[in-house]
Amino acid sequence: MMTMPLLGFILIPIVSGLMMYIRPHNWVKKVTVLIQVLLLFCSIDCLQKLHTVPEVIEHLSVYPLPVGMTLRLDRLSQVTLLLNNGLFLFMTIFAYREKYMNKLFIFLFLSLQGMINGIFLANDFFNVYILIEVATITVSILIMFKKDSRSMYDGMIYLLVNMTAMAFFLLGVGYLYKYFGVLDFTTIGQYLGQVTNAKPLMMPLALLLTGVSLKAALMPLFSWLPKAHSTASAPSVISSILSGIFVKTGVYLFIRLQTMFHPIVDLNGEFIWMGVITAVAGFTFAIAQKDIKLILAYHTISQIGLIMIGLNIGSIEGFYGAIYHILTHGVFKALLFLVAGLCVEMYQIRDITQMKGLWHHSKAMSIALIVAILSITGAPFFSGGYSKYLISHSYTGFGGDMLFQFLSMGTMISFMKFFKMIFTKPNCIIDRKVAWNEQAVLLTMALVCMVFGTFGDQVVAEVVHYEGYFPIYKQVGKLLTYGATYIVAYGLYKVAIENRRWTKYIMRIELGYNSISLSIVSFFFLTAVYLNWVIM
Amino acid sequence: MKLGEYMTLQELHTLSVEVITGENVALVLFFIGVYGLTARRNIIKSIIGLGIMQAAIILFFVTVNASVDDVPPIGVAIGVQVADPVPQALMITAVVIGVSVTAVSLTMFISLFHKYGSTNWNKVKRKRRELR
Repeated sequence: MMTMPLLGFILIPIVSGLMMYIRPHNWVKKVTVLIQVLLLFCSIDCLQKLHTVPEVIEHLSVYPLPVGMTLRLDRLSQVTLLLNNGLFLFMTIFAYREKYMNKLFIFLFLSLQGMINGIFLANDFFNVYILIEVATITVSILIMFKKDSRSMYDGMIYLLVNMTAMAFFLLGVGYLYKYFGVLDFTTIGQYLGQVTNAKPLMMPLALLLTGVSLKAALMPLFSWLPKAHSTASAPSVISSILSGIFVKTGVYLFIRLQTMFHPIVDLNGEFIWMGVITAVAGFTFAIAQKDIKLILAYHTISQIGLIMIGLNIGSIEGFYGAIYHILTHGVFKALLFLVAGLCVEMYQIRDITQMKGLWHHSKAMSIALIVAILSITGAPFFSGGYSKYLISHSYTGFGGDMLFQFLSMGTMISFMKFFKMIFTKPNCIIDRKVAWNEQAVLLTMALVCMVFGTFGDQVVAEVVHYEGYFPIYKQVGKLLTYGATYIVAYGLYKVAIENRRWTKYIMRIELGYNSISLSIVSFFFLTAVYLNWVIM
Repeated sequence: MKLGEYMTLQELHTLSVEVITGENVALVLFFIGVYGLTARRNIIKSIIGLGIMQAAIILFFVTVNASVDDVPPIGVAIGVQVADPVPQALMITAVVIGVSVTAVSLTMFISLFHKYGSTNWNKVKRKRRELR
């Protein structure tokens, strides 16, 4: 069978989006769906290919590596590639009948898909930089798409903060070019293994880590994310894409940097704590919010923290668990954002405490929401439960257990309000009905969440290429712990959190642009000092 | 040189040639830009600060491995040291990106100014909070 070249993942969406923008036609939407199906099919095909070879390198010119330009697909990038193309297919079908789905939106949407694919496939620093910059501009236009007056500020903050971070990243790339004279990941990785005096590499690494950490929204650098991901003017499919896959580009680049610089420095010590702090801060802010999309946006930060814990825990199982969590979180968070977007359209408000009786209004939405909540809180038989098990399993000892229980308890507490929303008596009449394509997407994604959890062993072996062991009978054993944690979390929520004053103080905390810039600079200096200390 | 001795003009010149390199100037410029972002509340000045950072990066790339004796990498130049063309090619792309980023930011600023009527980050933030 003939396979598509890797360049197709980048060029097909961008070029077809452009063509449909120039020559719009009645069948534009149908073609978009067809392209998505093709790309998803090709991603699954790549998955098969990587069973026999560890990586596929595609040359874009006639010259060999240090001079020429290449695209690389390996076992890490194919997970993110699959997630990206899968999510875009779901989102296209979901938004099929929406009014905003015009030629301009489709062009921007498809370009974003091509560029995210490019970030995952690019094999050199400069291409990654260019693709992230252009993707950031596209995203900032997309989050202002409905032209709400609040979104001007959100889009502006998003654009400028990300540009600042990418300026740090590009300066780091400049330093790498100064020392090595090349820019591609493969050659720099080889050279880093031969370095004898690693001290000067502290500067580029600190600069690169600053850029990447902001993209991944780690602890002091996350203030831009909630606004961008929850802004009122972004269609809910855009929020889903941002939280589901786009924020993962930062995590993906972090993994690349971590493996590349492993011969000279071990980043685990610093970043596991960053992960813990990010996870705790994320759910603390989420608990305090009342805005339905803002709760989910803060939760993305918390889950990124969890992924960072897994990546830096220092065991193979934790590492692959974190990569699997990238996939599972992408699906259930996108699902949550879709449901939240529909809720905002149905109730015409964003305050979750005012929304009541969802079960009465739509059964499909309620089922999808319950599945997504069970996934994100780590219930057995659901996708989040499986990946959280892999992350936490390797970290034995009382302290580790307590930490993971604490983290999942925080997640459970912040989703209490959602259960209240579903199982209360309806207080209003709702005109907006959920269309069949929307219902189909919601239920399919919910099914994917369940398959990723219940048959986790098979999925992990197939997609992440790791032999995880958490079969169904072991998952049954976890049910009791999960239930007990939920009861404790409910008690804690009733006693210390519901309607308390401290949540209002936290709700008001918001950094302005100057403070965010200051936190970027402080992060850079602290990382530089830390690296200066650990690099011998 | 001991404490209390004066530098000759020649020594001062040598020192300045050693210290004022493209790389050092670029770093200083970069952090001037960063200062603009952290300490100025005017949105226009933030955009200018970002522009300064981009200019600093361009200076860094084109001077970092260059020497005065290099000849341009055009035409037949066998046996002489030519300037590295890669950073120059990269920086043309970076210039284009920088221009488009500045253009997009300024366009967004114009519509922001029409909605909020202020160029001050703090005032804009306060008004944004009132809108929710």
